[in-house]
Amino acid sequence: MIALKNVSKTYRRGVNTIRAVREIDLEIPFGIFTVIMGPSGSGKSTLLYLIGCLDTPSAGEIWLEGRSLAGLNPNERAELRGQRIGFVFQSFHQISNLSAVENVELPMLLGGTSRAEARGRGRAALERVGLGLRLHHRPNELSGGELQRVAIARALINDPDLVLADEPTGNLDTEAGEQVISILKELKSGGRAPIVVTHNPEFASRADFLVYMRDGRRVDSRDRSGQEVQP
Amino acid sequence: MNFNLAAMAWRNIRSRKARSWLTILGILIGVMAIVTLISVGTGVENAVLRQFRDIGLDIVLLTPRTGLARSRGSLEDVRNGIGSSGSMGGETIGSEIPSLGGSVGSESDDASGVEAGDLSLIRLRREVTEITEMGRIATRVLQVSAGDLGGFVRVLTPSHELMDSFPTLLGGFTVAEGRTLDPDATGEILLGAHIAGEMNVDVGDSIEVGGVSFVVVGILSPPQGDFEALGGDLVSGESVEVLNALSSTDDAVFVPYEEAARLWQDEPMSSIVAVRIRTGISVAETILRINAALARQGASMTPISTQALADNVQRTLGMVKTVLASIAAISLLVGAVGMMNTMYTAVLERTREIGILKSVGAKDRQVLGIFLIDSGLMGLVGGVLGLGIGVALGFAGTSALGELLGVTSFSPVFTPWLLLGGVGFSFVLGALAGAWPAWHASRLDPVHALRSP
Repeated sequence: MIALKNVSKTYRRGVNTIRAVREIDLEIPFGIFTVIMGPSGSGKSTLLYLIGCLDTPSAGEIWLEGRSLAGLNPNERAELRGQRIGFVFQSFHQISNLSAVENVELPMLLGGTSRAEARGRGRAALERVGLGLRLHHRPNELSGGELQRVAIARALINDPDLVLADEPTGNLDTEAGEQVISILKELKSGGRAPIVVTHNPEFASRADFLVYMRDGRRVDSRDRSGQEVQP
Repeated sequence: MNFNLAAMAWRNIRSRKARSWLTILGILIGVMAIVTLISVGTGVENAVLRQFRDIGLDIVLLTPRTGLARSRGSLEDVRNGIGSSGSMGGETIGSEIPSLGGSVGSESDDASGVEAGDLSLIRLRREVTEITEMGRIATRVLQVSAGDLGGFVRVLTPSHELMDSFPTLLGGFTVAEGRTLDPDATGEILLGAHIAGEMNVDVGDSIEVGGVSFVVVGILSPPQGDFEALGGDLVSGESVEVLNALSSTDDAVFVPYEEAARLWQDEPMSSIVAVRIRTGISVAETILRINAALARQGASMTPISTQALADNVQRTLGMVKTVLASIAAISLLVGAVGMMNTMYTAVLERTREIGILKSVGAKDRQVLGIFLIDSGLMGLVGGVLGLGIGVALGFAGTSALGELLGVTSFSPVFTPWLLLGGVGFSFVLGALAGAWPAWHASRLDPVHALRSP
């Protein structure tokens, strides 16, 4: 489980102080599909980056399976991102001069896995998202839906606990979006915690756990049955 | 793992092909300039030093301190001295006679004392036991004519000892046609190959020098080595010019010292004594002893060793080489700044990619590594190509320079230090130039980087 305790994030932009996330308490168990919704600027992406160790909270603490992330140095956080966390972004974020399989195997190679093993796992991961025939295509040769499935394959390559998706369907048509939603939702079955930040109401109806945010605060959270959940 | 970083870096280089090549070009030019200039410079240096070695580094030349004017002065001194038994004591002249050979009469003894600036060679040899051989030579410029051809020509008048013991000072002094000068004969002359051709003279012909008729007994081979070209054109200095003048035998005629002294004692001349020092003896210490001996004799001559000349030349060429290499190094530095610019631009362009890498688990040092290897690889490629072109230009340069100077004996010198150093240095320089941009890249905040356009 991932637990947030009184987590805040404050940015300074010029003379302004932006309180992107304010005093959030939240517990997200593994094995369920979590969706975080809210209007633009509600702090939901920032929250996702905090959970994903891309960013550090200004106050409060985040615990991953009973271990606080507060004391980790940048190296340990990078390692955690590589091994325990997978990211999926709205604009796909593939490295343009690498092929699909090379993008997918990147987290393994950075973690020190041999090329042969990484290639095998990369191929398998792409086959799992239905891209077994697109291994050596460059990002500019793939459609949006395919790119996002490559991103999911990359997020899954190291068999992470958390899969964090930031508006994964934002740049996709309905059909491709539906495919991505299905794949992400299925991830919970492996004991993982897929967490999606989105505007897309399609996700809301599929969520096991739904969190609403506004102005950096959690304003509501409900389980699958629509029952309000207290942190 | 490092291999993966290198592969990543290599892809980055290839993805901005034109810019990478231009950056590489900057490094290439610098390395090329260094390799070319140093290899040619070292080649010239070696060729000149080889000339000195060929002449012999165990020779000390005693040259008149004030040249021509002093010689005339000496003549006056001697004329007075003979009567008044001054610095040129009768004992000195007398003891010198045996060393000059049987054909020398008493008239020439006076003259031989004159030429060496009041110097008794016998006494010098006795006082400086490190000396193994010695000889003297004078140079005059006299009217020479054969048939209806004529003009002023350099007349070299080596003593027989010098001809026998110091042929290297005279460009090898090998006879191509005829024979050498007979110590017991008079009226014989040797000609340099070029002057013989110019004057259309063969062995057995007569030739008039300074109003005296001589029979040509031999014609010399062209001087060995390229001391004239190398020494004269690339290195200057009075002492080097002395060596130059001696070894330029092609345009000179040769009459024995003793005979010349008798015939042309009133003509202006410049004379030199050559002594050889026993091997294994410190040249510098021996020079001090020679100086002391010269002072005791009141001889106004300066000893200079070929070793010291060679050292001077080496120092001069070393300085030239350093200056050239510095200029080349500056161009390499400019190349490195270009590299820094390219790498910094690359980091800016790849900011989002750096964010992606970090989001999938890249550590700061891995990002640093990718960019360092990127710039290092470009440096390496520039270094290797620059080296290749530099080597080719080194050969082209020495051959062009050789043609210009009429020298065939010199080639560029590529020391392992130059080759490995050139490549290694360009890699290190590339990495250094990329260090700041790479550090900047590694420290990017991943969230911020991911949001960059």
